[in-house]
Amino acid sequence: MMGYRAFLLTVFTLLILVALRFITEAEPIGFITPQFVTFVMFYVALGLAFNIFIGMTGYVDFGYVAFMALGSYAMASAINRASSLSLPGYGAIILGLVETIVLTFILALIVGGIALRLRGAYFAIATISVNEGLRFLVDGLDIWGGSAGIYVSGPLIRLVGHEAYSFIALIVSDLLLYATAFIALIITFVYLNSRIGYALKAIREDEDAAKVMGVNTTFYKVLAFSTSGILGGLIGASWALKLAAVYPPEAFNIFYTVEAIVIVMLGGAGTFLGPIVGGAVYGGLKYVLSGYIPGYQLLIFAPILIAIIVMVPQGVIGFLRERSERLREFIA
Amino acid sequence: MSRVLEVKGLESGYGKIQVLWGVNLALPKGGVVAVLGSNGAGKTTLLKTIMGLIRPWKGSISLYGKDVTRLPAHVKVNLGINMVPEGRRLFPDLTVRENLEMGAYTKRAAEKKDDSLELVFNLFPRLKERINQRAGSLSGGEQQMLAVARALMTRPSVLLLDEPSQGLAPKVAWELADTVDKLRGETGMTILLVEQNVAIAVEKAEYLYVLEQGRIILEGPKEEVVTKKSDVIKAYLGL
Repeated sequence: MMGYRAFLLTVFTLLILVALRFITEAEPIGFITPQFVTFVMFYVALGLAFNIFIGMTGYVDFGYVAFMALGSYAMASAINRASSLSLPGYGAIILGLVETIVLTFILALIVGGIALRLRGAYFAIATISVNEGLRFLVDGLDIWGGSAGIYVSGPLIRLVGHEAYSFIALIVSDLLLYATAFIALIITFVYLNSRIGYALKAIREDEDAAKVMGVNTTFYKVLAFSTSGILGGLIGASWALKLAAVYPPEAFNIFYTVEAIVIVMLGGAGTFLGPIVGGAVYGGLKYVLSGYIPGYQLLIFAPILIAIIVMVPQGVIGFLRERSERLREFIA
Repeated sequence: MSRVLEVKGLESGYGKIQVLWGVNLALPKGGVVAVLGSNGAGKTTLLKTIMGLIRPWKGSISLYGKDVTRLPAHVKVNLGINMVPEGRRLFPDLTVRENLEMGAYTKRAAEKKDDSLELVFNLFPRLKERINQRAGSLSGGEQQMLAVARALMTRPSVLLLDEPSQGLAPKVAWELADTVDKLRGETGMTILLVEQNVAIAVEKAEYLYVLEQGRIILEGPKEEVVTKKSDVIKAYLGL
């Protein structure tokens, strides 16, 4: 089994985060509160989901937030339709998750089928336009409430009542987010240890060479792209349960994509622990900074990116892996 | 002799730029055929089009009598044709073993993996010594051996070799060229050799094509082409 030690270590780290979330429920440890842990977990999950595509194929998807937005919208619209469908609260959430998977899968097939024929920078540019195009489509055609967006908390409270709402917004939403992170991690492990992993590795190293090895490169690229996209949608759907409303400028904010890239680069693309280290460092810094010097947390981006590029171009985990053969098997 | 690979009226190129203008070519079973030509003549484009890495615009390609013109590369690999790309194109961060295993990626090749490894190590004992080394850290000659070996792992019956001598010291280039004879002898493989090193091509092949500006300007059995010594030959082949 490839990287099973690193995988177990990563699972263990995730479990610690989950435990921390519930331990701090009773009493915060320093600045660590359940909100803090979930905030960090959001970025960890984002990193893990994003890493499946960028880490394994080497392609950079600048339109990644479109998947998250689609998930948020699917969840919000399912909740709004629930009363007319006479669905109970949890039925609406399940419907929202199912619709998220279907919609993000369709988007991934369309975008992937077309844009993945492009390589390198061309692919990255094409995906930016997908995100922006989708955003203006929602806005201009008044889909899902157009520029006004869809309310989430109001309809959800009407549907399930105040008490159940706060349980859903705090606990259920967190659990869905954590579950998505675990699923992303497990899928990474399964892919890496199957023919899929070999194919993706070959694509990352040299796509033409992979083709002459008999690898159907388009198929595997679309597979990784849609897996990563669906997981991104699930993150968006889980997070939507905490929101008052979902609306285009926030949902399609390209900033999330940039954050995902920073997290994966910071931790180390294509490693198990990388997204966790990247997500924890980035999410933690952002949370703490926005608490102490609000507004200035945006300033951490540029220095972090510059520091990564200059000091650890392969990311923290990539750097450690190169440094020590012994560490390699634990963190690779 | 029966024809394994037949190319008729092949045209292809990149974007709007046409490179090949109606190329006809045939490979007899078990034969070694070489395509010669200067830089930019379209040799690599020809191989990539035959392999399916570039889509042909016009013309037909048939393999064992079956039309494969429009098939993508990964399907053609399964039909028993493969290419050693120009500049080797190894997976530099993977080890020698991993590169070879990658060659046995398809189901058809995976079934014969152990047998293929034996064949490959027989041909290139040096690779066995380097099995756990990163491909990127091998010498130029070893890298080319690995590129050929990796292609052999896919179990081709037709092998396209794109400039195997490129960037190698003359002695190493000749060593590699000798594997062409071994391949033929041991596996009865049909080989299409694209070379700028005319001496190697003429020594190893029995039929020659000369490609110029995307057209075949001369072809024939080696003796014929070489003894003709027309102006073209002198100009392009320096013989």
